[in-house]
Amino acid sequence: MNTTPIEIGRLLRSSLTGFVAGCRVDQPSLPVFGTLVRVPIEDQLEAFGLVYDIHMDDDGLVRQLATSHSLPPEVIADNRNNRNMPVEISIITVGRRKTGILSHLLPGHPPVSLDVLYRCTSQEVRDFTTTGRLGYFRHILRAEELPVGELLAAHLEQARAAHRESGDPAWFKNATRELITLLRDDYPTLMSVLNALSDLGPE
Amino acid sequence: MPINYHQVQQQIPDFCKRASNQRQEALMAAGLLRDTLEKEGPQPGKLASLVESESATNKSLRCAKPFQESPACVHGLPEITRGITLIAADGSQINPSRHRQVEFSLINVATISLQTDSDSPSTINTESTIMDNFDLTAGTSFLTENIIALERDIRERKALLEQASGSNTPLLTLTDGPLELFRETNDAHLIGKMLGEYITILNGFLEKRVITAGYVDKPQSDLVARLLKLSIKNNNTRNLQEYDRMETIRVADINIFNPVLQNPGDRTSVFAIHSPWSKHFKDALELCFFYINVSQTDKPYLARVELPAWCASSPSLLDTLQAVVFQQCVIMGSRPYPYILHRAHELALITFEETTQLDSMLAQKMLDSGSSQEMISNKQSAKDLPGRGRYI
Repeated sequence: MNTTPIEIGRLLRSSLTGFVAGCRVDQPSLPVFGTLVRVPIEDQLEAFGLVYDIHMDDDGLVRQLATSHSLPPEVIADNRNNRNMPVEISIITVGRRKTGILSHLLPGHPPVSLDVLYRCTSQEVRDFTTTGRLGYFRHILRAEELPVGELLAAHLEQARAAHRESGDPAWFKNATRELITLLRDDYPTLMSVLNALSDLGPE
Repeated sequence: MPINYHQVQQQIPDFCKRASNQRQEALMAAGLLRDTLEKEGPQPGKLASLVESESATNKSLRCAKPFQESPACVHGLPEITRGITLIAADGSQINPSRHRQVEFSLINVATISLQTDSDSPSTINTESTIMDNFDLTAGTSFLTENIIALERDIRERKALLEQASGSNTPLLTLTDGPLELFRETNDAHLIGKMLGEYITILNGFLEKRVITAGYVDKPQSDLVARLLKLSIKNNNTRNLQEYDRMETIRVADINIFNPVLQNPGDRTSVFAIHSPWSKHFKDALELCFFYINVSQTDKPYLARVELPAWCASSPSLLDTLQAVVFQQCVIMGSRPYPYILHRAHELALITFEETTQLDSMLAQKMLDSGSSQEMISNKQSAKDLPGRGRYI
C-alpha cells in the first residue's frame, strides 16, 4: 500500500457529485477501479471520491491504425505518449475534508478544471473509511447508473488491505454488515452487491 | 439557399459520361505510352539526348529525363532497414486577411522524430512565427498567400535540417509534397533570395549525408508521359496524326505505371526532372523522383517520391528510402500514407478556433498598449451572423 500522495492527473470537468480527471496513458500511477482519491479544492477543503470508470477515447487515426496488420513499437509509443488523448478517469464524490475534519458530506463546491487529483495513501483510506458509520456508502448506492456491486467490491478489497495493514481485520466484516443493513429493502441490489463481494475471496 | 439540386441533377449524367470518356482515352493513351516505354526504355541515353535537343528550341520544356538506368526498370521492395531515425516536418499557415480584427499571418512548422524498431516515444517540436507587413520600407514584398507558402516550405526543410543535426545517423527526413520549390509570385528578387536559401538548406543535407525526400500522394504529374510523347514525336515510324491525338490527351504518369508496379513496394527507376525551374538545382542537388506502389493489395496505389540526385545515385540510400516509405505506408493500413507525415500534419495544423483566438489575443494586446480598437470587417461580421439552418 502507498504511504505518500501520488499525483494522478488533473481535473477536466466536475460537479458536486462527481468529477472527471485526465491523465496520460503511460503514467505509472494510473489508478484502478475503486481507488479512493482526493482533490484539494482550496486551502482547507478537499473532495474525496471513488474511481468508477476509466475511459479512453478513440479517434480516426487510432481506428485506422487498429486495422493495420502490424504496428511497430515506435508507433504505439508515439500514440500513447504524444498524441493529445488523455485517459479520462470518472470519480464519484463520496466525502470531503474541511478544516482538517473528514466527513461523508459533499463538499460545498466542486473542484475546478486542472485541479490536481491524488491517490489516497493507506492512512488516508483508513481515516476516511473509519470516519462516522460508513455514511459514504449512500452516495454509491444512490448512483443507479454505476456498476454498484462491482464498485463496492473493488473499493472494499482495497480498503480491506489498508485495514489489515494496520491490524484491523474486522473492518471488512463491519462494512459488509452495514451494506446488508442499508440494502435490506432492496433485494436485487443486495444480491448483486453480495455476489460481487463473494467473488473477492479471502485476502 | 442551398445549391440548385434540380439543375445539378440534370448536369450530372453528362458530366459522368464525359469524365468516363476522358478516362477511357487517357487509359488508351497510357497503353501506347507504356509500349513506347518498353521499346525505348533500354536506350536511356537516346531519350536523355532527345530531351537535351528539344530543350534547345523549347525553353519551357518540362518533362522527365532518364537518370542513370533504363526508365523501364522495376525495382522490388528491398529489405527493411532497421534502427533508423525518421524525421518529418509539416507546416500550416494563417494567411493575411483584412477582414480580421488584426491583419497578420502566421507560419506553424512541426517536426516529429521517430526511432524505428524502438519503443521510445517520438520527439516533437513546433515553431510558430507571426508574420507581418510592418517593414515594407526595407523593400520587402507584401505578404501574399504564395510568399507565405514559399516561406513555409523553406521553414519546413530548415526545421528538418535542424532536427537532423541533433539526431543519430542513419537519418531519413520527409516532407509532404514535392522537393522542387515552386510558387507563382511576381517578385523575382525575393524568389531568387528564397531559392538561394533553400539550396543552402539542401546542401546542408548533402554535407550531413541525411536523406531528404518529398512524398506526393495521388500524384497527377505527367513528366514521364511528356518524355514518352517526345519520343513518339521523334520516332519516324509513328504517324503524325497519332502524335497529334496523343498531344491533346493528358496522361498522368500513374496511369502508365499502374499495371507495371504490381507488387507491394515496387518502384520505378529514378527519373530526373527537366524544367526551367529545376535547372536551379544542379549536380548533386538535381531533382529526381520515382513512383512507388504503396498498396498492400492487388490493386496498386502509386505515390511519387522526390529526392536529390546524390541520394538517387546511391543504391543503398535509395533502397532505404524505398523500404522506409513503404513501411510507413503499411502502418496506416488500408489507406496507405506515411504515418510520420500524417503525425507531422496533425501537429502542424492550425485550427479555425486557434486563428480566432490569436486574432482576439492580438487585438486585446493592441488595445492594452494604447492602439485604437480594431474591428473585423462588416462583411465578415455579416458572414459570422447565425445562419438560417444551413451548414457552411
